[in-house]
Amino acid sequence: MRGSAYRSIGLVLAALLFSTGVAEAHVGTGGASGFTAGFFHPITGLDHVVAMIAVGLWGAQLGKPAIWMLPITFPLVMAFGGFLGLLGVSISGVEIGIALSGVLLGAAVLTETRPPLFAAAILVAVFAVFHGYAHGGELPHGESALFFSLGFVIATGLLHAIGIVIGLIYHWPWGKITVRAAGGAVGVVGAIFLWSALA
Amino acid sequence: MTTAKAPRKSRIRAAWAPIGIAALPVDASAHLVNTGLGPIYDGIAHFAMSPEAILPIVALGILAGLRGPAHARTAVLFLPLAWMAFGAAGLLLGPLGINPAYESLPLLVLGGLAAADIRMPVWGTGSLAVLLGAFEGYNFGSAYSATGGGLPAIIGSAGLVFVLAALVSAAVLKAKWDWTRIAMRVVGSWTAASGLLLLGWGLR
Repeated sequence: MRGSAYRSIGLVLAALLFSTGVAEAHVGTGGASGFTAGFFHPITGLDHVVAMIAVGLWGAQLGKPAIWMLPITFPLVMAFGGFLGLLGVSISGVEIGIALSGVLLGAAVLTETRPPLFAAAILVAVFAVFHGYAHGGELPHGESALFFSLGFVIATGLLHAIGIVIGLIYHWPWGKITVRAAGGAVGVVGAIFLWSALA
Repeated sequence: MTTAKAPRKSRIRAAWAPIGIAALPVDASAHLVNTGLGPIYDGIAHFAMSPEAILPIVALGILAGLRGPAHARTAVLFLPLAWMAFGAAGLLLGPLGINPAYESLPLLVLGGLAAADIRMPVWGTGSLAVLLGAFEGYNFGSAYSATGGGLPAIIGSAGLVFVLAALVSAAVLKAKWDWTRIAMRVVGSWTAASGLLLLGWGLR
């Protein structure tokens, strides 16, 4: 009788040990890592970084309203490119397009090109789609989608802001030369990426 | 008790043990928060830890603030009312069977409108506030449909919704300089861009 009771108690205890619930030591986590992953995604690719900074530089060089239009419209158009990438829509020549963005935007800053606003906006928008598409195709599974997207968009916006802040020195004579030189440097980096994309 | 009957009883007990363990109640954790301070604070904490609900409200506050005091007053009034009404409906009717990806649509629409600084009548802002309150409030209330007793949580969360919408729209209303208004539009643009990426993420 006593042995039977012990067996029953032992069975219950063993069954309880195996009736594990979900481990909830870190409920709701993923937000911070998702934001960090998204934030570092655009700034760890030099081809993206130089093109984003060039957009800010060109905006500052063109003055109002381009200086504020570009940072408002670029993230939206880039997100549209990312949306296409996430859905798996096929776009060819993405790497060439990204490298060309560095070459052409850098050249525009270097030569102080001043096209009509709509032409500048269309050029930048086309390149934004390429950049967004490349990022969209690379977004990892398993991260917090909202925080990753926020980090990604904020980092892109801050790169534009860096370009705009650097571009503000354009008002001084020495600043003009510095900004144009920065545009030239962006063009060279873009040309290197274009070379490797075509090779 | 004879020795023949003892193993049989033991087997019966062994069969009952897993059934009893399976029936052990555990916390219903449908993305609910337990602060230990009562259901009103649970609702406040639940909302405060739901960035997917906070961001569209920030976008609405920016949009209403950019448009002026009449728009801001309308949004601040109608948003929490719709939140409570549709939160109660969600509590009664339970979750809707829609793709969670579409929860990014308020981010996309409201962020896009704020970025574009769209001019609209006051009733347009009010309608957007009601639609947002209905959508997010229903989602919030339906999370409590399984556990029940979510009405205090909905009321608590509606209070924070009111405070958040009032603070954001007031801050934007105070933005008189060009660059501060542009900064608000940039935030709207980033919100819409995040919404678009979130939509693509959910649909892939």
